[in-house]
Amino acid sequence: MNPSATDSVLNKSGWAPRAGDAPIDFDLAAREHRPFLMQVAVATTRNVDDAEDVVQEALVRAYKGLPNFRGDCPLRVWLARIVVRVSINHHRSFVRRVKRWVLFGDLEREDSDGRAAAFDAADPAGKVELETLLDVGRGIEALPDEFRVPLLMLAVDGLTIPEIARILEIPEGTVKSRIFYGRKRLKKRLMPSLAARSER
Amino acid sequence: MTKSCQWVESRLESYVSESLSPAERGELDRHAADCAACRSELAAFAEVDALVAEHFRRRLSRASRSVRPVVRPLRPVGVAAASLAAVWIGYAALAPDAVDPDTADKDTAVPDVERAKPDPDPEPAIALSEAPLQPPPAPVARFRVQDSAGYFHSLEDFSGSVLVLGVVDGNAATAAAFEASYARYAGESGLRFLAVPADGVDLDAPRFPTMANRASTLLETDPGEFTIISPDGAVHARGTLDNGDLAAAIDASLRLWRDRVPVTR
Ligand SMILES: [Zn+2]
Repeated sequence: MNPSATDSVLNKSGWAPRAGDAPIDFDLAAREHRPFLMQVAVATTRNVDDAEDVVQEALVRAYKGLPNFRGDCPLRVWLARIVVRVSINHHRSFVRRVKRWVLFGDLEREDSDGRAAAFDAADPAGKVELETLLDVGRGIEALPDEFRVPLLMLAVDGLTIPEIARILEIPEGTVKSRIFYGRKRLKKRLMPSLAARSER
Repeated sequence: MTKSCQWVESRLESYVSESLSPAERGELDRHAADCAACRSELAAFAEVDALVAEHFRRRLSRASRSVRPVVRPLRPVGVAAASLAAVWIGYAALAPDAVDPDTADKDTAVPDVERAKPDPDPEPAIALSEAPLQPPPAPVARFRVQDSAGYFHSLEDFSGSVLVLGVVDGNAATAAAFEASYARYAGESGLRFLAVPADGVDLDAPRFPTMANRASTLLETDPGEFTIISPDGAVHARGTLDNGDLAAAIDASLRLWRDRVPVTR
């Protein structure tokens, strides 16, 4: 994990995380960390279509809350924590989500390439059958957040168990056992299709 | 003599989280080489991991493709420093409605330090778009249809149900596929079917519910394709109408959503 430029240095508009530290250029930080935060949002939201909104909302909150950033963890960890919180609350507030979806979903979102197929393209070789993947999705969806989130976060580029632990603010051992539990539950659920696949 | 299966079982968590010591890992590997049961157990974990990774990759590709930031004028942006304006464009889709009321503070969305600063370049943020003096194009609705009685419907009108949306093209096979699924599943509670003829297609006495598209993208459903929308309005599945995908996807959707439908109202 390379500490990023904005995790340590710089300035122009900004806030000092601690007295004596250089202020943070939030603009630059947001640009730099956005792809990472998007992955964290994809790992944490239940509805993947919310991921972009979650990142937006998290950045707005981060910007407002920047004076509270004490600099006791890398900025990207702090930002990821906010993404996780926004993701989880997002899901809990179903009514709000529906409302937001009417406001934003219908009017302001469209595909950049005109398509957003859930089933196409991602697996050109077709090795992973539709049914199995649907099953994986269902199995993951059925996991409580405390197991689902660390399991999916492990798939985020460059995220390690120690960093997941810092983001989720739980011990590393807990992250490991939750991921293991999630894997076991999925394995059990997927047993029939895994067996069918290995027979081919 | 290698370790026992129970020993392997007790080390499995460390093994799959790659925190086993090299010595113990070696022991475990030696056991697995001779024990088909443990070998298949380990293979299953590896397969689960690969599937989770694939699932994540698909979600990510979907999330990255499904949205692009909307450029539109936003009150706070107009007074923001130019260096920040680009970031605020990214925020525009969010503010002000989606921020929690308890934390939302529209008037201070630009922190005081920003507003207090003399603005070196008071151009409104919209000037950053390529056609600064043009109003942004009207957004294209993702889903807007009109029923035979003339009423317009948005996706919200279908929320709470699983919606099977088919865009029927001129090919008789696609209409037949939709009809077959409608005949088979129409009795399922919490499941609704809607066929929309593609532009220029006239359906002759269809035996399934239809409505006309009104200049929407139909959630990016192409002619000859179906989209299954979950009760909360998310695209859950998509595929081609004239093969077996539709029934498989409906089955899968029903298994997923049956316990939860209807969600509200
Ligand atoms: Zn064994």
